Amino acid sequence: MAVYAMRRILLVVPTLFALSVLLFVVIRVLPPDDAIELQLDERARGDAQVKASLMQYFGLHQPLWRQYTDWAGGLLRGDLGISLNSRRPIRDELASRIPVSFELSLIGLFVTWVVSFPLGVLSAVYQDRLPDYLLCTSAYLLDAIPSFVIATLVITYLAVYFTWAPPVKFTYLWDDPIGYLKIMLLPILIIGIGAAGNLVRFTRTFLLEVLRQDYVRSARAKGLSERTVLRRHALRNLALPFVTVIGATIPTLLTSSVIIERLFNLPGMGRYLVTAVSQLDYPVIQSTTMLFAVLILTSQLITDLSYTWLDPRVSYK
Amino acid sequence: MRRPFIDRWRYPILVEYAQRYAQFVSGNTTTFTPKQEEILQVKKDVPGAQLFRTDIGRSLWLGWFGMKDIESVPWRDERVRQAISMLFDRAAFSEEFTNSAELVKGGLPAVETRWQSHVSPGHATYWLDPRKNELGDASKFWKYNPAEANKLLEATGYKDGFTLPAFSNGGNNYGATYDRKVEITLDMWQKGTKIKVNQQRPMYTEWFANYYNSPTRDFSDVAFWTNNLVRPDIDQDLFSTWHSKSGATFKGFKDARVDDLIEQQRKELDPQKRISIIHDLQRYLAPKMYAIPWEPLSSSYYFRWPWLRNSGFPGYDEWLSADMPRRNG
Repeated sequence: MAVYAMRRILLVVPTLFALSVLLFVVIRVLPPDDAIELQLDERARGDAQVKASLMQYFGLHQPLWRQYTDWAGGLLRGDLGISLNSRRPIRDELASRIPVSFELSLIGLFVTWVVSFPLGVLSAVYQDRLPDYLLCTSAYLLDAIPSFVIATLVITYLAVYFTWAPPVKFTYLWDDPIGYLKIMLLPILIIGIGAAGNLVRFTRTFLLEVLRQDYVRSARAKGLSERTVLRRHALRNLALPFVTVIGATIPTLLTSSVIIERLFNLPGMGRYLVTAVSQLDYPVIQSTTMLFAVLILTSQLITDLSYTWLDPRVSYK
Repeated sequence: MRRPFIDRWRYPILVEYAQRYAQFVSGNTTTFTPKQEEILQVKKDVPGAQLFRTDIGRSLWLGWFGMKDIESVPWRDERVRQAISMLFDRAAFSEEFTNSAELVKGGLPAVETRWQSHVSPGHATYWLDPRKNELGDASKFWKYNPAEANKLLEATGYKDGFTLPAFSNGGNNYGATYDRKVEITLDMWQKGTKIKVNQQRPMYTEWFANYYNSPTRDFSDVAFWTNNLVRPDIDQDLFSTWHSKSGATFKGFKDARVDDLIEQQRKELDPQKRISIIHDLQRYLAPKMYAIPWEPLSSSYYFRWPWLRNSGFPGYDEWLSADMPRRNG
């Protein structure tokens, strides 16, 4: 296990390296002049001297390979660079934003789990009956409608029918828990329930497969009640595929949070990234995307490693 | 008079339209400017809100021409420029973006629309209205008339049309409506004639440095669209846009008569005589069509809650009355 874990962790390194090169090259397709120009006041635009001094300040005058090594070296030291727009260290700007995105995604993941697991089980137990049809249809709908559409509809209808909108001013959990709940409840529910559709269908399919296994038939033949068969024999074996799918859901949740944060005006990493894209703020786009990549790779690593813990039969040779 | 200290200053920045709408409907924000096509729906959704109509803005939207190879490009001939202007259906364009007919049907006063001459209609004292034929015979170049435009093209030897590369800002900072306006305009140019438009959308920096703010306009075969922000006195606008010595903001062709009229109005102390000179300038520029006056300017609507007092009176402080819901929230 330890060898596998080590190998798996080491595999992350070349993946991150390849990703960083790809990210850097793709973003640099846009000329740096454009990025600098966009940061300037209307009066300073077109001023070659101002532009040249800013290019020098941000190191954009150097050859590409040098810019890459400076950026990648900085990342390794925990220095994410300086924002072209605000001229502040990106690390400082992200410090207050990371918790917002983390909470949104993690609590959203919890909601996904809480909603999808029981509903998936219910759908399988009532296979080909009305509850199953209703749940499957709802799951397909949730899967088909993007979360930003659901969010827009929810925001609009709550305002029109209940004259209510989430507070504009963001408050942190430790400052004002009730205020925090008022702001975060809707986005968390939307992000969590939005991702649940897929998982309901997966849970249903996996459980139906498990229920057709020989050992389940044996358990029923022993005279155990359907509830006991389900709880003791079927659901336990559902854990592994469920964890696999929920692990794969994390990237979806993280990417959905980018749009949801913007729609709900949440000061998280996603909104920061979207704003940076519209301002062509190279360093912020690079570093924030890289951070998203690290988070996604870490979540997948944890998912992989949790297999042996959940199922002792699994061994890695 | 002693005034109380300000307790707080809240200025929410809401980038998403749905969020702006929801916050206004819920009474968390004071003002909301809806999309023109949604005004009636918002009026229905928020019956308690007051509806205001804006004044006509003081901007000047133009399509202007590159100066490179000016001796050989089709639009060296003013008849070609006149034809291009006549291919632009200003009435249809205006209706598309103001939704005026629907608003009137919905019981609102009509949107006020003014067509630009080569002067912004926001300068009401000086502006001449092409729709009222105030530009004389040249007012006809403002009217949509593809048949006449084709005749002009034929007379200039461009019966089979020509390729007209048209540049606009390809960055997203002008907003989606700007892109749509450009697309519709270019489509109008191609409809009913053999002119082929080659649309190009450089990134904002290239657009700004090489085309929008280019002192020499050293580009060939191109026309551009954007607005000039209008300054307090018309002199600054006239000089910056039409005087050949204005530099980067010059949008005309070098013309001693134009320069002379601008300088004359600058020196004129009698207001009536000054108005008359600026009228002459517009009448002179009308057939020359050195740049194409683009979209008609219109008033628009916005909503405000009645508990925002003193609203709409420029120069007076607005204040929130006690009946504002969630006043302390």
